[in-house]
Amino acid sequence: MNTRFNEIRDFLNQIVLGKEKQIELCLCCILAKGHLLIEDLPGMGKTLLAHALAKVLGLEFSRIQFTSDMLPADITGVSVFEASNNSFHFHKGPIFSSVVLADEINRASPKAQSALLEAMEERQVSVDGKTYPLPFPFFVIATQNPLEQTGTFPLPESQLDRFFMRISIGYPDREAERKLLENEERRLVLEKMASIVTEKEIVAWQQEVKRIKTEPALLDYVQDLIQQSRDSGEFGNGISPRAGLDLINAGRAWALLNDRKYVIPEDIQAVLPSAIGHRLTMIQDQDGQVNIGVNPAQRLLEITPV
Amino acid sequence: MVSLFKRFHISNAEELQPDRQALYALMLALCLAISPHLMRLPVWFAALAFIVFLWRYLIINRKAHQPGPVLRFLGVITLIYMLHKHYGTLLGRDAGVAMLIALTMLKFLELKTLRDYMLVVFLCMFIILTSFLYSQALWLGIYLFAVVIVLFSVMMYLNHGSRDHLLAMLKRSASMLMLGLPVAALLFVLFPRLQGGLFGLPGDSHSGLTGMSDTMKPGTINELNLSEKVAFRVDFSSPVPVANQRYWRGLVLEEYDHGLWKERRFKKTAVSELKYSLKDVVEYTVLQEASNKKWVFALDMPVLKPDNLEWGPGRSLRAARGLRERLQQSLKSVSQYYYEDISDDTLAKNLDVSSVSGERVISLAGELYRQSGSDKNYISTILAYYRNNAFFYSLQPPMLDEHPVEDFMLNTRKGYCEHYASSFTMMMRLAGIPARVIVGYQGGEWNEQGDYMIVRQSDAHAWSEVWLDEEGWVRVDPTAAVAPERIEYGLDAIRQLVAEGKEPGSLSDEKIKIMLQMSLLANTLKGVTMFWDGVNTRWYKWVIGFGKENQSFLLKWLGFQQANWRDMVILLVILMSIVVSLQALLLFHRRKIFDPAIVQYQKFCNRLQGIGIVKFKHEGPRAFADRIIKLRPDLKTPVSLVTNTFIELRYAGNTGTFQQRKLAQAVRSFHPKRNR
Repeated sequence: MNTRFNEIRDFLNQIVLGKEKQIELCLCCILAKGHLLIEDLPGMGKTLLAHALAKVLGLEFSRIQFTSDMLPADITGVSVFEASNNSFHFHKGPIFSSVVLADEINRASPKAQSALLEAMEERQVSVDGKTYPLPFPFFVIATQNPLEQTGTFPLPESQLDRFFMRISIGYPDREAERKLLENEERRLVLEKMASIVTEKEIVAWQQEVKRIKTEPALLDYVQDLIQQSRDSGEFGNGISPRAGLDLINAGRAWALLNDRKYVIPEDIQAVLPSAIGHRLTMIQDQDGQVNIGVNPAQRLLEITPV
Repeated sequence: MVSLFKRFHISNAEELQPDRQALYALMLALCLAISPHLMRLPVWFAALAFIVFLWRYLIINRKAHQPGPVLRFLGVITLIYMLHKHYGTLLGRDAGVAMLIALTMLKFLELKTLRDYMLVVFLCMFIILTSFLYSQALWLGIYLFAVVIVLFSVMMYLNHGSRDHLLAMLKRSASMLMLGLPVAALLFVLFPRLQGGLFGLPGDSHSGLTGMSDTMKPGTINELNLSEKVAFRVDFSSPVPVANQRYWRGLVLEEYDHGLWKERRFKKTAVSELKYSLKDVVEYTVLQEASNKKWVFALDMPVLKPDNLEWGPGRSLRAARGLRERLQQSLKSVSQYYYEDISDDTLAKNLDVSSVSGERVISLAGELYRQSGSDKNYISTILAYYRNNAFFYSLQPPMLDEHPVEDFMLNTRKGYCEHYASSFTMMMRLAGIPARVIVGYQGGEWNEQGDYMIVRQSDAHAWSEVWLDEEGWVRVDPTAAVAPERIEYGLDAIRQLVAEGKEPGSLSDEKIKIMLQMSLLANTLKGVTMFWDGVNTRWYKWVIGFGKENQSFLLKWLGFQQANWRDMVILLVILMSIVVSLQALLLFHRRKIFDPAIVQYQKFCNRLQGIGIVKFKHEGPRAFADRIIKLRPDLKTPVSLVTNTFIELRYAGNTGTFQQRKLAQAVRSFHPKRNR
């Protein structure tokens, strides 16, 4: 099984250079059936990464470019009157796809955002009183620009909580940058490559993740983390039960990626910054200021003994 | 029945055939279970065991055949015949137990499937239980508890085919048994019980009990005088009487027939009234050993007869039936008392001299009485007569001729309490003073360890009672006149005197005390014996003897005034659920905290700390190992071994004993040195 994962890793590493950790987290997200939020500046390769993921998995792919004047129907689809048979016919929107890239999600109005997020949560779309199931597997990769940028509608906490993980890509290091500059454009490389994973395999892996063992000692550790986030007084809001569940599942997927049948604390520690980071804030001090020098996820890991 | 068995049987148990280890373990368990019975079984059982085990050995190692049905049938018939020949019956305790053991051994020849093995395990459990039909001693209970632990381990081995270390298995079964103990204790204390002891014993279980004879014939050597067996133990709730007041009244012998003293035939109503003052009352509890006799021994003079006892002749106490089990009885006695009246019938009985023979002794009595002038003086005269005429206390007196009183008073002049009590009483009667012989115990040893008194068979004693018109029945102990040591210090003092070649009565008090001082070793030994006796006594008092009375006492103390059957069951159910839930909580809790892997890993971390590598609190074991290896590549092998084993144990749920030992061993052999 590990060799299959290595094939995928090799594939993705050829496309997105020097970002092994981020790629690993993306795979983890897929295996745990979670949705991914990539947050970074424009031009960092967010869209490329999403494309590559869709390609390697051999899944149907669609992309929605979010804009400020977007309406929910642009995402979910719309019922159109057809004169030929004198009835309304539902035209499926771009969301009816196995991998959906929601590009620059925070540019859209909250109304459009919520349409996507509801589909993500329920894995189905309701239009005109009719319910349409989304394909399986269903995987949303949303990208967003950092909130300081102009023309953005920040996602509220409740919506952020629905993302399984948030990662940022960051600048490539010097070596990777050089390769990038020297060689052919990555996008063209991607188009030439063939997908290497089947849908069946993904489903099998997702089943496998559920069978990864979590012993009482490990659950104790996760509960300690959750407890710490709620009671230590350092964080704004504690980890929600859904986030706790996501954390465990991410740990399971991480263990599977490392070819292990059980979760160890290091798995949890590896995924925690991505799985919890977007749901955890430091508490405001007396002046209403947040100490932005501290990464809340790292802080949580440091104050919780294994 | 067979089809029923089959239907409920786990299908693969039929085919499962336990291995050789299981067989050896089962043989060992059976031997352990039988061992308390060994001395009681017929000798040919050894041959039977030898044949069975040898045959079994041949079946395993030499592919011998198991006995066929005909042979098995013949074997059983032979066995039954042999048992019947040996015991004369197949019923009752002894024959029944022997039969059970023999058939269990034979079962070894047809052991095949798991079911057979389990059957033998259960038979062993039953054999263990039968040991209690013979003895309920504390040590036996402890031993058999250990055997049950072994049997549990065998069962565990059979069921799981567990390849655990032997000690680990014993430990696990012991802890399983321990878990059951609180519930067992609750059931023991609160389960509604019937009158009587813990074990209702079959009829043949009371042979070989020793007790006091109901007749006395001086001139026959009394074996009781030499036995160190405990007769009874006494717990005083009032101040303990001094040594020369410790007279334990057993039987009152009033009939004299040519040298043989025996009890008078007695009408139940005829108990004479006693006058006493309440401040003289002594309260105590007697724990009397089984004796198969009815006599209940009470401090002289018992008052206020308990409901379950009867008055015997001369205010002696007795049970309705022979004491086949220990008797625990609260009693009251008085040291100062006064008889108001004596019936004519009793008077006549106690003056009867019709079977006394010997002219010389009769005239001696008449002579001495004339010299004395009064009844009281006559008593002193006779006691002085013993003192002044070279009478000796001896445990090996010469036999007496056909005129025992005369022979003793005028010729042999050597004897022990019975001779003196008998001759003194007759001398009284010859002078017309009513007198009788009292048989019981005199003395008692105080057990400091348990604050109670032990009275042994060697304390058996006989003395006299004399009727004086002004005072009623008065106790006179003629032995005291000859050998005061016997009364003050007990039979041991006499024995020691004799051993040193001195005559009883020849030494002063101080000298006797010096003589009786024990060496340090003897003192320590005595302390240990006393301690053990104390433990055993509590065991009998609180465990074996825990009957209906103790139970209702306990319930009253808990606040149930009129506890009936239903209340007790409800109380039992409530308490049991509390105990079981507490245990469950404790178990879950312990699983969390007392992970032995953590203990080992902590040791590992401590050793690393010794060389300056400290684990961060928030660091996982794998990350820590990676950091160590980065710092000290030379430690890679041991560190990886410990870390991997620890992770397997703690996070992979691979918690076998093998893994535990592997971790412990890896940690034990991990001794990192500081880098230079």
